[in-house]
Amino acid sequence: MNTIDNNGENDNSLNDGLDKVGQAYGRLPHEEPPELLDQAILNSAHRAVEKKPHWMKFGWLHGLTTTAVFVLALSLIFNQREQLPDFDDRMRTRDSVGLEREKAAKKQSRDIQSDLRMELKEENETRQDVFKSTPVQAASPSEAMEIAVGEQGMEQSSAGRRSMDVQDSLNVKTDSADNDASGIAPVLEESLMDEADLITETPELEVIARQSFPAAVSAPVASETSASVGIDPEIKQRLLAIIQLKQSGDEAWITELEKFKQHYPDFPLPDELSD
Amino acid sequence: MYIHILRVNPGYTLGDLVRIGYAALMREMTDEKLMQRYAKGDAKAFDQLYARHRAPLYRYFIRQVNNPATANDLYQGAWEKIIKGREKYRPTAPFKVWMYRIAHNHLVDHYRRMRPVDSIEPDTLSDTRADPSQDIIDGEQKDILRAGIIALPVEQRNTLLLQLETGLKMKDIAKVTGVGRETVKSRLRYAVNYLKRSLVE
Repeated sequence: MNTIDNNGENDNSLNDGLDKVGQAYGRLPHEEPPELLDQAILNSAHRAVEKKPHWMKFGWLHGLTTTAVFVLALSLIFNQREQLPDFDDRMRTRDSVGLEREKAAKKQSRDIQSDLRMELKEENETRQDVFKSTPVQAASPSEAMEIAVGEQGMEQSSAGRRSMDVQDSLNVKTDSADNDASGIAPVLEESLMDEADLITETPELEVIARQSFPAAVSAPVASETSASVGIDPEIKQRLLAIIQLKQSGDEAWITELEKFKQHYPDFPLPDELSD
Repeated sequence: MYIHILRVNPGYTLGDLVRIGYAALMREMTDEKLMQRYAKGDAKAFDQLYARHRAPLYRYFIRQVNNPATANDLYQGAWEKIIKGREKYRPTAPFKVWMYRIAHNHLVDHYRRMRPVDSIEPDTLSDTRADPSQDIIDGEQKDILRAGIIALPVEQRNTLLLQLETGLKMKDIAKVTGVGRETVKSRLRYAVNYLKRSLVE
């Protein structure tokens, strides 16, 4: 029963009217919401208070992070793929250039080595011819030794200079080329040692050397060569020839000596000729 | 109570008894307690609350608009607002007042949206009244009453339905509708007099 606050005669009439209307209203059909609607509302209410795990509250952040990492990884992969062919090309070019340079350096060093060998061989042959054609007299053995030793020193020092030049020219090349070039020095040294052996094996020269320079002959060749560096081979040959003339008793040695003195006034004469 | 239940239904398990006990506890709870429990995450409390108020609220809407589809939309929308506003609810006011205030505001929003097309002014509503003669011909008093309710101006109809469906006192109806108590009384008087005349005729 509907009731209104009783505030007088008007409220009584209102209450009576409400009672009558209420009775009629109660006879109206009692509509109810559809069951589907009930279920939808209840589901919505239950979902609203379902406790989600903490990470589920930031599910969007999780998805965003995963997507960002995926995109970053893909972009890195594609970027590297784009750069990789260039890198390979550069490496290939660099390798080919290096190989060509190395080949050129090796070839150059081989050429230089062969040239040097040829020169040394020719000089050896020439010198042997000179020694064979010119009989050595025992008149002035010391001068002959000096010349011989000086000649040997000259050869060795010039060979050393050549070796240094070769090394300088090969400094700009690759390491392997440098190694090849540095291998020339031992070869030259070996050939010079052969020459020295040839000189010392000659009995006349050895006799002359022992008489004139006993200390020099007994000392190692390498230490002597440094003292005679810079003597002109022509001077040596002329002096050797004058000594040979003197020992053979030919008076022409005096004329030759005068000529020599005119040409080389400052050159110190050996003991055999200084008399 | 549990012994009696087991005598009647010996197949019940302990879980069934717990559920029965919980449901009984819920039934004894006031609306305010249930709403507070629901706000704290107890979905079962909402089930109980919904069971109590579903039919009156639905009738409140369907007799306002006299259209089941629109009534369904309004009804669902009102409950969605109640669910969303669960944490804002304070037990200082009766739950029923809070709930019907939400429903009333939702209905007013609906009328505002409909205003350009379907005027709801009392004067214009009088032009849209159903034909009472048709109801008389049918001889059905309830149809006359239903037609009379629909024919009432919105404010009078709203106040009358709140009185008839919810049983709220005038001061609570005044809180729900946001008007003074005397205004509520005046609207009720006009509505009742109109319906009485319709029923007598």
